Amino acid sequence: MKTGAKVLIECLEQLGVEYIFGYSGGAALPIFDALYDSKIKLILTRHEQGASHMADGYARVTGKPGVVLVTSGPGATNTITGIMTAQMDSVPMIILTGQTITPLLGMDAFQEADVFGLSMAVVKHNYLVKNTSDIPRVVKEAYQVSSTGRPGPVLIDLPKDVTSAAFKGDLNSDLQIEGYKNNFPEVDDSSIDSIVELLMQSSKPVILAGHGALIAGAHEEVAQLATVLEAPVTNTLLGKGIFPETDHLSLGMLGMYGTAYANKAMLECDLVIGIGCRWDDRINGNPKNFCQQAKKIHIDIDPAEVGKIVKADAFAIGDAKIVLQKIIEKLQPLQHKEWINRIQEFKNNFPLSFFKGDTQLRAQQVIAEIYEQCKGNAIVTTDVGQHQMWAAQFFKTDRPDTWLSSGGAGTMGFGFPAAIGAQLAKPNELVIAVVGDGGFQMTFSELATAAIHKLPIKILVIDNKYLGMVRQWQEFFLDNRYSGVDMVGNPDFVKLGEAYGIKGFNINHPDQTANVIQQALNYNDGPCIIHAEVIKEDNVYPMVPAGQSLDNMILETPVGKLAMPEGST
Amino acid sequence: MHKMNLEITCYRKPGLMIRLGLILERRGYEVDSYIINDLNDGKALVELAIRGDQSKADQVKKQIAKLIDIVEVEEVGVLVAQREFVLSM
Repeated sequence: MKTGAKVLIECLEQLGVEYIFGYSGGAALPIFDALYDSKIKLILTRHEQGASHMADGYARVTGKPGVVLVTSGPGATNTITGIMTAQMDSVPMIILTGQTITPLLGMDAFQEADVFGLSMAVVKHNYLVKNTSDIPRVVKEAYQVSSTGRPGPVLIDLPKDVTSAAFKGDLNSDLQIEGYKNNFPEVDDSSIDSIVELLMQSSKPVILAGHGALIAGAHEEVAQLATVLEAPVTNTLLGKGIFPETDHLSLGMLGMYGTAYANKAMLECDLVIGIGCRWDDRINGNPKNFCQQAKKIHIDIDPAEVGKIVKADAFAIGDAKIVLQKIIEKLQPLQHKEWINRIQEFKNNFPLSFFKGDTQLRAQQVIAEIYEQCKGNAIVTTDVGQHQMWAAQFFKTDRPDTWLSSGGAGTMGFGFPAAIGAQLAKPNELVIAVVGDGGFQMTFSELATAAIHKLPIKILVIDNKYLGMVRQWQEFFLDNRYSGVDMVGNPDFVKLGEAYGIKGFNINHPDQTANVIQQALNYNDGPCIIHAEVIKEDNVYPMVPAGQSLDNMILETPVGKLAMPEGST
Repeated sequence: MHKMNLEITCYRKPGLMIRLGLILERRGYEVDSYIINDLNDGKALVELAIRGDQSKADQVKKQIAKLIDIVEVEEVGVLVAQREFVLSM
């Protein structure tokens, strides 16, 4: 007799699922029991939030949905943050939640929560399975919905009686997602022609590539387009890796904490071609006057994104790889020597920099050092805050799917568990988690998970004993009234690691940096913590205050208080 | 307030009404009337009379169209239910 749970696990095996990240509990007992005999490896975490971020990290490096398995009630609600994080960054994920038995639904049973209702706002789709016979269809639908089109999280709520009952029914029943299937029309050829026409007319084009280009696997096409057009390429935070940031045509990241030269290029260009980006407020400053002087082209798989933030002069709805191939076919090679020279001028006059030569350790220096030593050949995850922006600036990303950062949600606690998911997905790659002392403390209980599986992750803790990004805002806009940012009471992070049986290294002085990082990079018996005690107060530059246009970049310490920005924080 | 009448062809799956409600609520739209009728081919037709911020009208239609169980969204002048009411008077 096969239970619904057994069928569930078998379906996941057939879909190629290798890992399930989860935490057990009563309502999920039938599923955990079925998992006992499965070849799918269960990664037992120490908190469900950690499980959700691990599945997310796994999905970002592989493109396959990360699978989470938790129990009902608080187990499920502990995943909401992770689900929202995945939704905001279009990451494929399947979340299986145990649920109370069907007769008790809505009766305030033990560990019962309306997970179907609670999760609805943060998922691409969700299910509450009431019939055991529905399980195969629902699992396959969930897999397809989460991993196709614009990917996203799909939750399946599974009552205990449904998963423990004997399965009777068709293992191969048809999917019932007709409403979804018609969301993918063929790319409209006339839209390609409009785009090509605009491209041919421009003399100062910029390619703006976002996460959608990476999801489509379009790095070759982006590089080709850059060559054929002779155009510089800037990327969003989540687009890092779509085009080698070490390439002479790369402008690095643009926007609020982007490079000054990328923002200067945006202010002077006459055409922006946005590929799989959503013109987010981090890059556009003030959408009303973003690139007013330029024509805008928008390529996106999600029709709801077109016209949402900026009005596109031409657009194409479809997979970025396919759309770009069609564009490149029709494009004549162009040359923009003058524009490229102007770009180089910007790069020469406004390079990224940080203060060197004093005895204080700085985050930028540590990040630049680890970048140098591994030659950028690593998968990097970050947490959220100043260290995240410095990592985006100083750890140049050349390869696709090697940069994992919570962009849309900005979820603290993401960095370290995401690194665990990434290392499990790519056991032979160097994985570096760049985290702050604030965010690390939100999910460090997963040190146990990393230690058990001997994952050789380098956990670089940038410890400034502040919630640095908030402090920076309070310095610039609120008269240095530091409220709610003092990370007093931080543990000794090396001792914390030791408590988990993990190796730790300290960097207290700039002169120690190179040596310590070398040791850490050579230590591969398991995870290690590199605790960098950096200067307490430092600022990320450039900065474009929220809601202001890109020409209001702050390049150095402001004199006097600035007005509180009106845009979204 | 901008008024809008939508005819939504869909599959009657659990949570349909909540999913629509969430999209509307989030973008500041109120429901004046919600009528659902089954069609012959297994689908259903939702006739929705709503009002809210003009600037979000386009997004409301597009986000509804994106939902997995929605087949088509059409903005119409007068809803079938409104027409029938007038005829019966």
